[in-house]
Amino acid sequence: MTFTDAVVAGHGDLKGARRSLVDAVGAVGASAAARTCGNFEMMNRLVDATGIPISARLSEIAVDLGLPQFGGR
Amino acid sequence: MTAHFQWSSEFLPLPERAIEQFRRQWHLLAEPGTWWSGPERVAIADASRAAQRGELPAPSPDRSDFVGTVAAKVGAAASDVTETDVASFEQEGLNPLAFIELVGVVARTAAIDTALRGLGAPIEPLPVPAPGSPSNELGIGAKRRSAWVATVGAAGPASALSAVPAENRAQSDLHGALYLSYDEMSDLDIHKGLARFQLELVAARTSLLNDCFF
Repeated sequence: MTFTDAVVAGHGDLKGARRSLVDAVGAVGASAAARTCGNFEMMNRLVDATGIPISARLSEIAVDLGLPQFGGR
Repeated sequence: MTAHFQWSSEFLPLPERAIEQFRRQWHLLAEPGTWWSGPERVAIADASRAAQRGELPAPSPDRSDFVGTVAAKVGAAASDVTETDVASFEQEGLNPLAFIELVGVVARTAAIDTALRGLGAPIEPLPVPAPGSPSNELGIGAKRRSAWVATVGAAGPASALSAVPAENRAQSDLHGALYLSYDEMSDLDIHKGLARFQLELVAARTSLLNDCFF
């Protein structure tokens, strides 16, 4: 979480978070985490800017969680 | 000319497939797209980057201030984009299909920039645009369904850009190189550097930070 917060939101010490993550999961695992952050930066923008609705399968869960039917609102 | 994305042992390791995909994405960014020229696509990416740094997009001969503003909003505040915004973009003269392409360009640039930051690599200079005209290729069967833009088939994350096929292909290819291919996503036991549940934790945290509740 600390690494993701530093990469995506610029919170905290990124170099330190990266070192800690490498210690915990190895360099290959940390690389996978960095790339996953990047992928969801892409997907978040796609679904929010184009108004992709939550699927019917998930809409009941969304209601239970108090989330809107469209991403980002 | 030096190739983009020269990898160093000082950075976290990156699979060769991902390096090749980053280079492929930069090549595509520079080339004429479906509705925008190469210079326009690079100028859109530049405006988006500026907004993510908290700066106003610099004036560019390759895009209007209006297009720069749309790129900045998608790049830095996508969760604030509304259906009314998307309709107003069209009313102000932005072709809805060109808007879809803009979203694709901005989103993939943000993806690569973020991955590089996490990997400990410097931000990559944008590519030199290539000459040529947009293809105007249409996604067969694309129409407005339940999303704010046209899609081919049901609207979902994998089809968000499908009305502009080249953008949808580029998005799918990058998705596979950064995270999982769409085929791999059905495998809950897959391990790609991290276990699936660990990948999903990172994905969920990223989405939370972006106020994306899809």
